[in-house]
Amino acid sequence: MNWYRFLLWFIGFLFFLCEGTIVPWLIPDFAADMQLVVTSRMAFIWFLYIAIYLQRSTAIAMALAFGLLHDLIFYGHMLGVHAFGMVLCTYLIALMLRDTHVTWYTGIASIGLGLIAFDIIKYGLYRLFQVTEADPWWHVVHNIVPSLSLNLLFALAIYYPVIKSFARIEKHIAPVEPDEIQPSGHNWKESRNS
Amino acid sequence: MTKKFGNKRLLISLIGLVIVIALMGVTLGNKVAVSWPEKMLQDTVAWIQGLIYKPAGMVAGFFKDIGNLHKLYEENERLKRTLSHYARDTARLNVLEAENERLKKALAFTERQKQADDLVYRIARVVSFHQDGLNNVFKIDLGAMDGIREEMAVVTTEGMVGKVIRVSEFTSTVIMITDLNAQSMNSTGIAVTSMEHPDSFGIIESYNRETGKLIMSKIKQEDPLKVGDTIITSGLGGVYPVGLVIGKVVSRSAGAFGITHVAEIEPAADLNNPRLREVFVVHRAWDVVDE
Repeated sequence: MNWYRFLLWFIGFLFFLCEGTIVPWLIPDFAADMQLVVTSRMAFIWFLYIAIYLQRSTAIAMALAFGLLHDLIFYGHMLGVHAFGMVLCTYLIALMLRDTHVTWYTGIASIGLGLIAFDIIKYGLYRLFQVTEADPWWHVVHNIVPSLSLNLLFALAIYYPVIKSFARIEKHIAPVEPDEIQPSGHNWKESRNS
Repeated sequence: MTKKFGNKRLLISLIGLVIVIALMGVTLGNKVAVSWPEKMLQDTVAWIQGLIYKPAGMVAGFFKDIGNLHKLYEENERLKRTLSHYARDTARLNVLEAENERLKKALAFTERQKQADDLVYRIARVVSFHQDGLNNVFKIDLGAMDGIREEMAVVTTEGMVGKVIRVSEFTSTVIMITDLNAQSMNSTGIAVTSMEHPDSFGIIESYNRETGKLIMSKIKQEDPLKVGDTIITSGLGGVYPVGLVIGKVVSRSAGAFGITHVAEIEPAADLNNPRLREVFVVHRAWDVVDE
């Protein structure tokens, strides 16, 4: 395993740990008073960043591994929901944005789209297996929207450092032509990997 | 794009989909035994999480404490008043306990029956927390080695918050009572009674997220339950021990078919944003005898 891949996995694991330990303390009190349930998805945002700006295959492998880990560690009702939802969303977002130059607002918007899609898939599966009978609209207002706003803030906050470090990794894997501007996004990926 | 998404890839995704749906169906309801690789993974990850959760909570608690300083004086007053009540109640309790002991002896209770109400409160540290409205669980740092078993009740100082669902050697997973759901076949209710009216009977089967209240159902029409009663576990059914506080009755009305009544219970513990540091795992003294 290359050093950069090890780094990607390690940071993913750190984000996964933070989700369950640090974030619950950071959510303000009024969220609970208003019956809002805020869920942090730092690790998932990290996979989406990798899928959009770096390498699709790594992102999907990470989504599968950390999705299963999440399912196992927080095994409440059933296994496989996070693994399935994260892999599907990561794949679709990567497919949607392949071979395009991704600007910062497209990137953030796609991450938001991935988060919403994942939440909808998750709600659908829990509803399908009759684990919950929460009203869909109520769930959207009290969980999906507040989580989305918090997660998008997080995605924006890490945008610049992530892009910077991805550019360095790209330079390391595939040195670019002198006239190309960093970070390039997708151009190198398909052609040089295969 | 259609060409890239060719036969092979389509086949793989379809097989993946089938496997995932099968996995969900098989593991639904947490009935699969815990295998040793899972135990190792759970313990390792939970141990690392424990290293982060506690310091994070301490830092967060420090800032909160500064904000709460002005409330402390008030709380102190209130506690002093409660303490005087407590001393009076203890004296009365001692008399009653002695009498109870004497009567049990007279009636020749077996040792096991005598211990049925001896509860053991094991303090456990919370190591991580996951809340998303559909699957609300947290992990604690006690496991099978410490005598924790599945289905044990978990309480805070305020009231009941959940039950243990999955146990590995050194850690276990607790599901919160907000995940109770009468529609699901894998959700089991809690048999409860009222502290003020011990004859009353009901079962807490679901939690209404929209109102934040627990739903107590199967209450007889002539049941003495009243609004304002404190609801505790009844110990019937043998899963949870008797006397764990769950909440207060806020309303009582006829049920969907008019045969039985339902009551809404305001949970004693704050279930929305518990920010738990320590919880207690409660079991009867004879539940774990092999130690």
